[in-house]
Amino acid sequence: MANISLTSTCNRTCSFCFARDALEAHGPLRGHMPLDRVERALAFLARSRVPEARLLGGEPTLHPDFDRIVERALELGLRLLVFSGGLIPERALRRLEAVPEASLSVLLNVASPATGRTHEVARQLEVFRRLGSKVVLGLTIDSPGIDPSFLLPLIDEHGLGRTVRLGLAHPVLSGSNGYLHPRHYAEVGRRVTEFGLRAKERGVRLDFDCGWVPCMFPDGALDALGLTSAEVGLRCSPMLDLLPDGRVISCYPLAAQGAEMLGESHDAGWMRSRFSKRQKADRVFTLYRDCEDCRWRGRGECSGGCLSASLGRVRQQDFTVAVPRSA
Amino acid sequence: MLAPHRESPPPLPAPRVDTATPSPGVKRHAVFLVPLLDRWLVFAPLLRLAALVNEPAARALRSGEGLRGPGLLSELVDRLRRPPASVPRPLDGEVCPSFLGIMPTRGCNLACVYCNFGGPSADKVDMEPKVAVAAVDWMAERLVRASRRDFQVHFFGGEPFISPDVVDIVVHRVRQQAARHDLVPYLGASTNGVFSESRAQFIGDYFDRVVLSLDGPPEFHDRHRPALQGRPSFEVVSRTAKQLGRMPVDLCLRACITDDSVGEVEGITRWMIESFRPAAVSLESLTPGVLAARAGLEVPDPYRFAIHCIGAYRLAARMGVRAVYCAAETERPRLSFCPVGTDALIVSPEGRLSACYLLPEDWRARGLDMDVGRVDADGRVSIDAVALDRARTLPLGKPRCERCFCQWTCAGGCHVNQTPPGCSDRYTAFCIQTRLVTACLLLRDLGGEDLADELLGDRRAMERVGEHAWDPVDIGTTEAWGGIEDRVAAARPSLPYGGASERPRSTIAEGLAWLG
Amino acid sequence: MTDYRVGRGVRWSVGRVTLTLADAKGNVRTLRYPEAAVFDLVSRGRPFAKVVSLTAHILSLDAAGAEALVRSTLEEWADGGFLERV
Repeated sequence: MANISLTSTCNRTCSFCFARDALEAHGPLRGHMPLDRVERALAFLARSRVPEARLLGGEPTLHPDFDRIVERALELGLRLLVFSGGLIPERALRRLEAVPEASLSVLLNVASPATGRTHEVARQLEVFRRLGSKVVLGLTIDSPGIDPSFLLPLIDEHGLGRTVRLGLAHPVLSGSNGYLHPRHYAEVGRRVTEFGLRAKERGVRLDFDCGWVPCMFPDGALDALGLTSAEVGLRCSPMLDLLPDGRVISCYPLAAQGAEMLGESHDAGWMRSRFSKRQKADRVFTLYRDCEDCRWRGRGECSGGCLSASLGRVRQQDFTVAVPRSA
Repeated sequence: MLAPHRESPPPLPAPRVDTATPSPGVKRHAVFLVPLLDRWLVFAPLLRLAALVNEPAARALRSGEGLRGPGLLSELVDRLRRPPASVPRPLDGEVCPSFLGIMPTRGCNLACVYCNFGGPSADKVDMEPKVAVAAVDWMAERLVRASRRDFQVHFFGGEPFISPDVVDIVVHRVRQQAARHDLVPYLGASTNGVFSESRAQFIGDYFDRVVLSLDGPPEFHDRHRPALQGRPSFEVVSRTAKQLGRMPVDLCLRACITDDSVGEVEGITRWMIESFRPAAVSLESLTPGVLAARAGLEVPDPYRFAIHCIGAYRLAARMGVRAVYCAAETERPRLSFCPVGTDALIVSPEGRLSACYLLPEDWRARGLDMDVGRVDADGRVSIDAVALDRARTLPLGKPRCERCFCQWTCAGGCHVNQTPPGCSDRYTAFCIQTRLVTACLLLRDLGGEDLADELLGDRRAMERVGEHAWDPVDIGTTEAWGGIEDRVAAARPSLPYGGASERPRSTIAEGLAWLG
Repeated sequence: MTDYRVGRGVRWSVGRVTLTLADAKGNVRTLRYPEAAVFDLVSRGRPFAKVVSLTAHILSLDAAGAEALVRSTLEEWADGGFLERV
């Protein structure tokens, strides 16, 4: 898979945003991906035999040529997955309405009615109404006080896709975003398990984004949710985010580690192996001290958690030792 | 007279208890009835069971009549008569401490106005490294003999981190011994947070939990906990809290609440969680004393404390963080409120092995001796078996607690400050707030938050709970169980504070029973 | 006098009873005891004499034994590329 970041412009101000630093750090280009670069990105997907164009941002639907991009991707036979904050402009929304359901999912990072701003909630509800089952709800968990229960009635009421995608707010390497501290993972695991079991009863399945770890779930929870440890624990790997300025990064949280430039012959496999090689030494560092004795890690069912979060435990500082001549 | 608090009507009469000669064999009870608004809370802590019953049912439970026959009451009684799976009992046999306490120094770099440990005038002598090493080695050996793997070491003071050498030696000796003997080290510390960023980084990397004293925003913290020469300490403590909050260690922020700050408890809790991302927030009410009085600080009104403490619990739960009031330990029954009686051993700077980390002069003032042995610089560790047995059974001798439904949850509070003859034989402010907070937590577990709200909004109802003279009710459990004292179990002693790592496996209450 | 400086790009993290060290080339080394203690003390800037005296207590060595251990450990790390000789 690979994500195409169409724009750095966004109309929400999520505290956990991990794209902001990557999109702003390397100016002067800010703003929208030029169409020729979009074309090269789509060609990259084709070369890589990736059947799906994953569009994100910022808010991808703010790209002034969003319609044309959607059109072009469909022409190339790609399925579309649009990652949106839900405040979709009217023109883009009309275009998405016209895309057949089989060719489109909109992964909508939903604002909680309890904490979201009124106009955001209202617009999202409008998007639900008009896109219906093309919408898959996503929730990024940035605090242990999460209560995802509001999602199920939304799915039922608006006939949304019967999957909820759950993500953990990971720290970007520069550490400037709000994130969920690993000390709170167990509490989140407990709450998500309770939610997952209720969701299962209502025919809604959970999909976990990267960086979850088996140890955060209560005993027996993964079984009950129909997941294996490896499905949860091995999802941290180079995602490939193609940025508006042509750079390719492993993923947003690790953007500070460096980028590759998208070349005409590169494919996703090649890119991924470049980043994996760079990160190989980092993979010895893990989320918790106890990972060194972990049975899941020992069995190869967990890579040790989000690499960016794991690197938060890594120390690098200058020191010298002045050793006197021995007697 | 009750310990001073405002707005209280005359207390309800309580049975006089002979406190002149506290007996280690004070009777313990299994089932309790506590008035809650127009109902009664039935609480059986050893069974992890609570229920709400109406007045006729409560009368029947007290009289023993009408308990048979079809219906919920009979079902409740049957459940109450089932013997518990285990009953906490005093430890015996060879000592294998629940944790090893290390007090590197009694010295401190703050001058907290309520501190009974001496603060800047306390003896600054550091523990001898050989004493520290001997204690660690002894503990490791004990764990191996007991086939236990958890190697828990907690640093106390004074301020432990003003003795960095002792800390470094102990940390690495513990880890080395753990590696050698396949033990799992857990390092903890109670600290004032006044140290360098480099030290904070070390603590964040090597420690599992830190209890950091922070009494709130500067207007409270700097008034209560000034540095030497009266300088403010908030900035450095806040910096430490932020740094530790980002690091792997579980950070527990402990706030001492006074009459001035009790109305701000929820705000303080929210601010702590948002600012520092702790694993837990611990709320303690000011312990009355000469120093606190001299500083113009007063113990909070226990009813206000209970109201705001429950507010903090709810707020923290919504934010996904634990709030802890140590006396309201409803998750598992216990015999002791603190390390005393749990075989936890604290090594003082001078090499004494004690069951308690308070100052020896405080024990002696109560006629108590908490020393159980010595650690010598030559590496010898000696335990006085008689003294150890005395420490193990000390928690049993709390006559004031016999009538209280919190006897298995609070377990009597501090054995020095909350045990007659060291205090009143009647319920103190500490007792009242503990009873109220515990009752509300039980209601929470029963799904009765609305009832808890009603209780906390009704001063008279709160007073009935807080000052109820006699909670135990005999429904024939003694015969059914064969006597509490005969039940044998190894109770796992709990650490002296709550933390994210002490996740409970079961809730105390099994359901809401509405009768009548 | 031989001075050592931490190698460029060397990073580490603390495990339950170990310390994981990685250099810029991707070489990884797990430090167990007694090395892990020595590394922690030197990385936090403790002077050599203090490192020796603390190591002596941690490992129950005499002063000479502790000094020999610390010296040899530093040399070994220098040979392994985790420290540079200055």
